[in-house]
Amino acid sequence: MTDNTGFVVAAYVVTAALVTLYTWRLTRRLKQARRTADHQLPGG
Amino acid sequence: MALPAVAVGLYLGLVWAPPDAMMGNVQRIMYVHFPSWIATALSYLTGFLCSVLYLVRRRPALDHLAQAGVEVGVLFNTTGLITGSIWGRPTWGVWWTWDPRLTTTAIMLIIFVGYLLVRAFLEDPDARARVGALVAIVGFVTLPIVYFSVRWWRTLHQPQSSPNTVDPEMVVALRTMMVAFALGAAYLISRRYELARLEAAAEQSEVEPGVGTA
Amino acid sequence: MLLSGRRAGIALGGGIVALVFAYLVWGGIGNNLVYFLTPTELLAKGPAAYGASIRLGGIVQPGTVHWDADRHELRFRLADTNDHNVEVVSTGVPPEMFTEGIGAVVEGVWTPDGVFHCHNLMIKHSNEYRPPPPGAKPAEYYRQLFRKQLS
Repeated sequence: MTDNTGFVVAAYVVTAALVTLYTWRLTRRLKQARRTADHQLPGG
Repeated sequence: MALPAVAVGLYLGLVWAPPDAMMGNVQRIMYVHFPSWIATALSYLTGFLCSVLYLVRRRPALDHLAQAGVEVGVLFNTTGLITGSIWGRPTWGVWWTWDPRLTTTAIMLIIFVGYLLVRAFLEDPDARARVGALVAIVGFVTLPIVYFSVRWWRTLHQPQSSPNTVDPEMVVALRTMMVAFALGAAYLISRRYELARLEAAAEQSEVEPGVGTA
Repeated sequence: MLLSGRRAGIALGGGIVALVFAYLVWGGIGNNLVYFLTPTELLAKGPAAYGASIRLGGIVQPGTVHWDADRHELRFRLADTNDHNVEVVSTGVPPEMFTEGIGAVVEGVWTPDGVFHCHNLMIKHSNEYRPPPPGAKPAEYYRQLFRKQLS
């Protein structure tokens, strides 16, 4: 029987990679935006 | 909160649940494929409801939440299509075929990608929000079409499964992953919403210095 | 009116997205809303359907499967619930889920000798997911049929 494990691994890895990449970019942009907001609003 | 659920779901889906009689272990792709669509549906639903509400109430916050919903929806729409393709190759024999389910799903994705592009293109926040809301509302019409496509038309994709057609242990694993993905989507939408809010404030203070900081 | 670099890029992307959308709607839906014909429908069309590129869907009729290991040729009859069936010839090893009684959609050409020459065989599985019964070996039928190619 042919081994299909590779397909299972690929499906999970691709999903994890895309979600992680999106989350990472979002977090980075959010940090940046918060810093800008703090800059405009000292003490706010 | 989503991460522990993913961890439990991964264990249940990849180790604990039995393989499928027909497909063997490839069936385990289901535990990441189907939850992707749950997350997609919830995210697009957020985008749709907030777009409708925005057109009624005209609150910028509703527009930000709509944008967040669509963007996260596009993410999970993409993972759903990719995992489906990877599942299709060893089981159906093809990565892709133009059956009504797959075609309508691709149309749904392209409309919401269009939504993001339109928003990126329009510079006036009001126009961006109004046009965006219209695209999101029209785009959301595709979601029930996608859902019912497997009942209305002949497809290669099988009709919806239910707890009656799926082994109980598989259902437990599937439900865990569904909850995990729903939580993950909710978290991402809330983060994306906050980003949209901050960006809008920054945008406004650029146009009218001093006003955005009030 | 000149667009800035970023906005020109977005506009180009939007144009591509619009084209893909139009292609999907007219090409995809227009031709594929009836994704496959049933054997009953194909037989009803008769000679009019000879030579055209067609998708045919049905059940792999038990007892009709023959695998020619030397010529890599798979023959079986595709049946529907009205008990009409069409002989299908396909080259190459099919997907692993291939077995008697399973749903299949074949792409190819129907010729006047009554044989459907398939160049793409796809398996349509049901919405049921069950663990294998105790002692059952997965894909036993498949391995037996194609043992020469799989060894």
